[in-house]
Amino acid sequence: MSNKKTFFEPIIHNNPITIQILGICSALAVTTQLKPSLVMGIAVTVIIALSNLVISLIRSFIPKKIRIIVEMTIIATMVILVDLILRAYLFDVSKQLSVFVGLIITNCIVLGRLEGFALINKPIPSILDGFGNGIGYSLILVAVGATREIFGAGTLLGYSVIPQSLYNVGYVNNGLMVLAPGAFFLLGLIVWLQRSITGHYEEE
Amino acid sequence: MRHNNLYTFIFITIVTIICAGLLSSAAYLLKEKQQTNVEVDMKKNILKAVKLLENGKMSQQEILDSYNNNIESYVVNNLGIIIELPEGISVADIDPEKEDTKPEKERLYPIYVKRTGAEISAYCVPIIGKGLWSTMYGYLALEPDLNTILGITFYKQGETPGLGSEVESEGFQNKFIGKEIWDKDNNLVSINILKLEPASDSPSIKHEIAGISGATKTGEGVMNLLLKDLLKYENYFRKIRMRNVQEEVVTDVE
Repeated sequence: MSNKKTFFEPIIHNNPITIQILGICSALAVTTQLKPSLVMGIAVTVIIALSNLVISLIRSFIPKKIRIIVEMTIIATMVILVDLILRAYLFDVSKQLSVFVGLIITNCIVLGRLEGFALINKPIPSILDGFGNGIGYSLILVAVGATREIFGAGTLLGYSVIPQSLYNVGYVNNGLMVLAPGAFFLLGLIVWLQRSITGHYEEE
Repeated sequence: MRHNNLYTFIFITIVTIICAGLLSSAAYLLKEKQQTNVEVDMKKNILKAVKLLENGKMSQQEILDSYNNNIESYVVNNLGIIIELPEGISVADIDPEKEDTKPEKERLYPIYVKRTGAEISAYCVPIIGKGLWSTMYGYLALEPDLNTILGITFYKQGETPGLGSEVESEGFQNKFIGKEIWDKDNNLVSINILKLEPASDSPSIKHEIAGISGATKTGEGVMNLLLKDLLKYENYFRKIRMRNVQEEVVTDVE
């Protein structure tokens, strides 16, 4: 598989969320607003890319029996490292991220890419695969986060986007959007939309 | 490639040692910077509660300078008596959460006051308590009458993102400004958080604000922690309020 394909495949045709249905838990939890969705997307992208690189570099030395333990150790190290750096240099962002860090360690996409790609591929394609999957994940998060914030709270990144005149004629924010089921519906719609465009079918 | 048990053991040991080494050195190297951040963040939030952080954009140095120039701190006990701290311990070292585990008589409660010239222009106390998922940390600032709320901040919480986490938002915090914590019979009633906007003809509208929709439990938490923490200072506040009243009477006579 060419490097270009490795990078672009997970963004559209093999998106981790809409096709592989991985990382749903965090996609539901952090997407009430755009900002945490963005921050989460960036953090996950960096962590997948770095863990992929490390695992790919040591792939021929890892004993098969304990590979999951090794992978989890690497992921946890990366997550804590990212958290420490954020707390020292981007304190405000880290305050917002704090509760989500645990979610990154348990994010199925990270472990999934290590198992499915980095263990059997060279470092450069592994980094690309990591970035591709991270960006694919971030795109969906940002789409869901933006939609939920606009319709749930009438704001985007904290700024009002729905004009007051609309509220005056009786428009109300959709309370469903700020709750988890709202994210479920949106994700379902995105999965449906994407699969009807790309023609993807689950194997029987 | 098959590996024997010894190889497996050595491999995982090396991986663990490298990871642990990496993390502990990162934690060690970044510790000072993180502690400064936490300290600045605490001071920034006190400044924010007493409205000294108007534009919200101040460098770390400006925050520290403004804090040193305007804020004084001391501790009181549950009877409302100001306590001298032993040497080497500053008010910032008093952890309100740890104080709560001590016997009531030994507890120390920090107070931050803003001075404008010789006059005290605001009192600020830490507020800490449980919300739905997490412990929320903040500061409450009162006007010199120790009744009207000047400002409130929450700077650390792990409530539901987008719902309970809105306690950190300006919109919610601004609702507290101008509300009163004592009723007309001089009882400490704190603030009630309702599900809806308080009716404009409600007799207790001075003590009521609307909560955050979708975060009723977080609102209840805020309500409980405010009352709990204000009661700690009740005796001290009563004393000062009494003194204020007497001074007013004296000035009237003159």
